[in-house]
Formats: sequence, C-alpha cells, structure tokens
Amino acid sequence: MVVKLSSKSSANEKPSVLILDDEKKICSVMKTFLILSELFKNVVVAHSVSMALMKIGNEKIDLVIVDYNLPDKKGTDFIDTIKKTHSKNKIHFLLISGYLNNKALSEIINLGVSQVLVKPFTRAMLIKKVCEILKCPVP
Amino acid sequence: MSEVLKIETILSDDEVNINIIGQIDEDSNFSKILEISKNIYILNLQEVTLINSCGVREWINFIEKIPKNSKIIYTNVPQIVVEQMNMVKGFLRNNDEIAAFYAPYYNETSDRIVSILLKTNQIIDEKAPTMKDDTGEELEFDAIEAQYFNFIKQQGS
Amino acid sequence: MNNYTLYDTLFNAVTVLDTKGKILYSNHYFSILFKMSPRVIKKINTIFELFNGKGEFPNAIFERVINEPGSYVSEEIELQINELDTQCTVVIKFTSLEDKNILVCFNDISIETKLHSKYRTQLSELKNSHLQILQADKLATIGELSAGISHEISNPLTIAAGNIEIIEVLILEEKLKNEDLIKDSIRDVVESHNRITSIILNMKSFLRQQTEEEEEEREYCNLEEVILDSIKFTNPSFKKHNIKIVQNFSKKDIVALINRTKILQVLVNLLSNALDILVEYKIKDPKLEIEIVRNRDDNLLEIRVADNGPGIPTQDKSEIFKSFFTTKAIGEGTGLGLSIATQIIEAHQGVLLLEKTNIGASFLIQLPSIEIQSYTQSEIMQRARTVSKNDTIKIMVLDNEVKILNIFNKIFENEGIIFLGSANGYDALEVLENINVDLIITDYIMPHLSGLEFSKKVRELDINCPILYLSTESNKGILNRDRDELGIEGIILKPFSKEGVLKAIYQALKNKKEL
Repeated sequence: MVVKLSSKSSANEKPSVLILDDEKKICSVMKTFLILSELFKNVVVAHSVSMALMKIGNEKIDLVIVDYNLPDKKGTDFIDTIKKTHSKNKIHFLLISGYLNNKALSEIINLGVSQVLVKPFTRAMLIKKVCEILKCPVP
Repeated sequence: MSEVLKIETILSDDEVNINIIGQIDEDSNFSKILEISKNIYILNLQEVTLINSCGVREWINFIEKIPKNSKIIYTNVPQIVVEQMNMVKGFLRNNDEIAAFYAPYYNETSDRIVSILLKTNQIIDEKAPTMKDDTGEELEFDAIEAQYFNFIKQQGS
Repeated sequence: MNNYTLYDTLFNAVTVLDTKGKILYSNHYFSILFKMSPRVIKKINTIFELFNGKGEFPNAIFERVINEPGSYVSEEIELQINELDTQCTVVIKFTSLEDKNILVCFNDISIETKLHSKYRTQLSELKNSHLQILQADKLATIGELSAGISHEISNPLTIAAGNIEIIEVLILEEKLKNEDLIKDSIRDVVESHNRITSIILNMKSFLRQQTEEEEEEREYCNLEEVILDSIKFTNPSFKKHNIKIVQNFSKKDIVALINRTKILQVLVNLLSNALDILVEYKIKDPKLEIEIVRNRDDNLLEIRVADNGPGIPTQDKSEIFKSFFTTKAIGEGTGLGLSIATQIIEAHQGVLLLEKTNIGASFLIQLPSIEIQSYTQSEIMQRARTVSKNDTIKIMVLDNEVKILNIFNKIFENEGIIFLGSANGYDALEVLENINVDLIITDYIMPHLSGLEFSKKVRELDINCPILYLSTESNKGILNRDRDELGIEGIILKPFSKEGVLKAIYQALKNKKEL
C-alpha cells in the first residue's frame, strides 16, 4: 500500500532507508509511516536477507531497519555481514523486535547497535528513533 | 499430620535420659531417638497422655532398631502404658526392664482413686505392696494383680 | 457364675448380663475399655447405668436377643468414656447363652474409624496437590513458550496499530474517497485482531484448570485434530527458530478415546522439550517428526514424536521420566513435564517410552485402541452398578464420526450397557473375532468399509447377533433387502433420540430371543 503525497523539498540530500522484515504487512505499515514523514528520498523494502543484500548493492542506503527474528538468519548476523562488507559506506542500523531476552540484548550491544525499537510501536515512536539516529529534527 | 509427640533427650557419658511427652499413636516419629547411640536408654514416660494400638506398633518398630546389647530402662510408666505392655508382646526385649510404674489404689473413706508410683522390685510374687495414705489409712489395690503385673514376667532376669 | 472365667482370656471387652441388664460378670478388657476398675464395676448394677451419659445402649437389640435367642450385632456406637478422653467407637454383639443369660461382646473400632477418616483427608489433600502440580506444569509450559507467543502477538499488534494510524492520517488529509485503501487497512486490522485473539484463546483453554469430573472424562476425538492443536500451540516458537515439523499420519480418521486437554498437555510437553533441545544445540536443519500409527497386531494406537537433536545421553535415559529431573538451567523448566506426561498416559492405560534411535530422541505414546478402551471403561463403570454380570448387554457401535460415538457413549452410560466404540470397520472386525457382543449398530455410510460390507463380513465370521443400521431416511429402502440377506434388524434414523435408540435396541434383542 503506497500513499502518494506531494513532495515539497528537493530529494537530493535526503537519506534512503531499507526495511527488512519477513512479515510483509509490517514492512508495508512502516514504509507508509516513513514516506509520510518525508524524511527520506527512497524507502525500500525487503522480505529476506538475500533480497536485502541485493537492494543494498543496487542503491545507496543510509539506514537499515531490520527485524531481529528473521527466518533464515538473525537480524544481528545480517547487520554484522553488512558492516563487514560495506564498511566504507556509513550505514546506520535500527533493530526492531517483538521480544528480546538477555542473551539477544547482549549480542546487540556487542555489535555496537545502540538503537532498538520494540514492537508494537507507534508511528511517533518509529519517527523519533529514526530522527535520533539520523540526527535530524522530528517533523 | 500433626506432631503431638515431643521427645527430649539429655545425654551423659554412657547413658541418655529421654522424656516422652504427649501421644503415642500412628503419627508418632521416634527417629530422633534412633540418632543417638548409647549403652543405656532411660525412657521416662511420665508425660505420655495417650497410647493406642497404632502407637504400640510404631513403638515396637523403633525399639527393634535399638542395638540389642543396649539396655532400655522404663520409668514412671503410666497406667495406660502398663495396660498396653500387658496386652502386647515385643514391648520389652530381653535386657530391658521397667524400673518404676504407676498403679491404681483406692481410698474407701474418701472414695477416691490415687495413682501411686511403685518400684518393680517392690512387687513380690505378683502381690501389690500395701500402701497407706497420709492419714494412715490402708489403701486397696484397684486392679487385678495377676493381670496388672503380667509385664514383670516378660522382663528378663 | 464362675464358668465365665473362660472369657478372661479374650482380647475383647466382654460382659455377661441377665435379662434385666444386671452385670453378672465382666473381663479385664471390659475394665480397660470403660476405664473402671473391677471394684467400681461391682458397684454398678446394670449395663444401662454404666452406659448412662456415655453413649446410647442398643435397647432394641437387647430386647430382641432376650425374646428370640440367637446372635445379633449392633451398628457403630459412639462412646464418651469420660469427659477428658476422645470418643471411642464400638460395635456390640449380643449372644444368648444356654443359661438364659446374655453374652455381650465389644469390638473397639475406634482406630479403624480414625485412620479411615485420616486416609480420606490425606487422599483428598494429595488429589489437590496433584491438581496444583498439573496446573503449575501448564503454567510453566506457557512460560517457556512465552517468547514465541509474545513475538507472535507483537507482529499483528504492530500491523493493527499501524493501519489505524494510517486511517487517521487519511481522515486528517481528507483522502477518504480512496475506498480501497481504507478497506485494505480495515481488513488488515481485523485480521491482526483475529490472529491475536486465537493465540490468547488457545492459551486460555490450555490453562483452564479442569474440574474433578472433567479430569476423569474421556471423549472420542480425532487424533489428528488434537495433534494439530498441539502444533498450533507451539507453532510460534517453532516458526521463530525455523524448525520444520513433518506430519506423518499413516491413516486419516484415527479416533482415540481420551481426555483431550490432558493428552494435549502431554503433546505440548513433548513438542516443547524437542524445541528446547533443537534450539540449545543449534542443530542445522532442525526437524521434528510426528507420526500416528494404528498398530493392529497389538490393538494399539501409537503416536511418535521424534527430533533430530543430539538424543538423550545413556546415563539419563532412565532418569528423564522421574519427577524433577531436568538438564536445564535454574529457572528454565520444572523437570516435572515427563513425569506428569507419564502419569497422564498411564491413566489412559497407555505407555510412554523413549525408543532406541540413532539420531535424536524419539518418544512413543502407546494407547489401547478405542474398541478396547471403551470396553474397559464400560466394564469398570458397570461393575460398580449392576449386581450380576448376567444383566449387562454388550453393544458395539461403528461410526467414523466422533460426534456420534460420543453421543452413544452418553446414552449407554447410565443404562447398564457395556459399550464398544469403533471408528473403522476393519478394526471392529478384529475385535469381534475375540469379543462376543449382543448387538451391533453400524453407520451405513462410512469411508473405508461401508456398513453393508461390514455387515457381510460380520456374518462371514459366523456372528449372528442382531445388527442395526444407523442412517438417514433416504436409505430406508435398502433395509428390506438387507433384512432378508444379512439379518439386519432395523434402522435407527438420524437424528435420533436416546429413547429411540434404546427402544430399537431392546426390540431387536427381544426379536432375537424369540427366534
């Protein structure tokens, strides 16, 4: 589901974001929120790790929002992989999760991922987190 | 399961003094006594309030676990326990003895029954010793001698 | 009257009375029972005086033994010997003697009654503790599965919340003309809500503590459905860790006679254990296989739950079924699961065992076939009711629908009828070779073996008991043909009532007798 809005500002300096979650409807909701915020040039969606890797290869992504519980891999493993393979580009990460036990939390901290969003979250919570990461004012 | 039985132990070098207080019945637990190992056990039954056939069974079970060469001396045995001892075999083992026990005596004038502590060695030929009360009046033994002193036969020599 | 001294040797309290109730003699134990020395007893004239204030003397029996010489026993009588003591309970026997006096013998059953009531209390406490343990185990299981459940709920919640916010935005920006968008959003919200509700309901029904009657209840269930329920229950966790579940149901429509909630508890337990092992050991391609087999040779139903994990170490094999054995860290598992599972299966006259395997752990649940189970259940229940076994009729009902089997179960429960339920014609035939029944009711339309085919085979086995068809109106025509050829006594029409069924049964049996 895509909601078209009139674009006001120049899209050039704006960052792009990739959403990786195996649940299509969640990606859809988040995409709508992010588009509405008008913070991003592009909002890209992937439902599997391989799809995500392809998309990161194809375009410049500044922020990756990834679910911790992916079917084929853990979200943190994916982050690790990206960090190693795309170390030149500065990519920010936001990890979302429905449930995090102590073990998972320590993994995440070890990886240096400092931003975590716990489901269920509201639009406001998502935007606030994103702005914190990108260091821009909340619209 | 209520514990209405209390066991107090006082240890000396060669012997242990044990006070049995309360009811001897199906809930009685004598394991505390089995943790002690002495040559002489002096069991004071002064404060036993009740004993029934289940209690007797528990009692005999535990007595059998006390080392055979140890000696048990019963003292201050109340009438209810004497009656049970007379009915049941196995209460007294070969070496054990009853030092003192209570016997019922009757005062005709005041029509009262008194419990008098007798020493076993006072009983000769199954005859109850003559007892007098404070006024000097002779008291009547208020049970059947042959029946009441039966347990003495069970004691070893 | 010195010839009573023989009674001195008796262990029971004994007294001899004349016809006026005067105490002529009493033995030593009489003294002890009433806590009165011989001297005191001498002073008392009659037995009535002695009983006064202590208890109710059975006057009626005393009168009787005087007028009709013989031996009579009283009911239990409570005696309060003195104020300080507890009550004692006695049974009194009166016997007339040759010299016209009455021998009265007391049996002190105080200890029996005391122990009996203690036993009842403790048994009831044990039962309560047991129910609590069952409940605790359920809660613990839910706790262990909570990570998966929590995750499973948070996704639909996010979707629902998100879509509502989108609708809000659309309203704000007056974009409501776009109906499709709105419809999509609403549909997503509703779907999410349904997902969450179903998860919660599953949990609730699992957790609901059964009442004592429900505890004992058995019903006919489709085994596949029960297993699918248990998979549904643990599915969030399995999905989360990407564990594949393979269902190997060799036959369709396998019916079991079980307490559904309890068997569900056992299955969830086994699945949950397998899940934990597969996750802990990070098994590559983790897999769980569930199999249902009807073992006809042994008249058993078998359910197998096998994982491809590391298996159970040899030293643990005998320990795992014991209470409180667990290899998990503190706070992660009570260790009660398998012992409770064993207890539940054994209560179903079944067996839970660990099989020998090369890879992983394979648990096997064996339950007796429903024919055997229903027969056993019936027998046990009827034995408690009827006086002689000759009174009971044995009826077999064959129908592939569990609903129907459950209805018949209820109908026969209170009628003193032994009931054998079956859901498969071939299984039923096996059983009929060994057990004689008085009547067979068979559904006409069934998937594997039709009612007609089944009846033919029954007659081939030389079994001549009356057979009734269970069918709808439309099949009435076939009755006449089958009546002549196969001796089908009649049809019970669906929908049927209890009265209708019983009437048909008794009529068929009567007809048979008259032949």
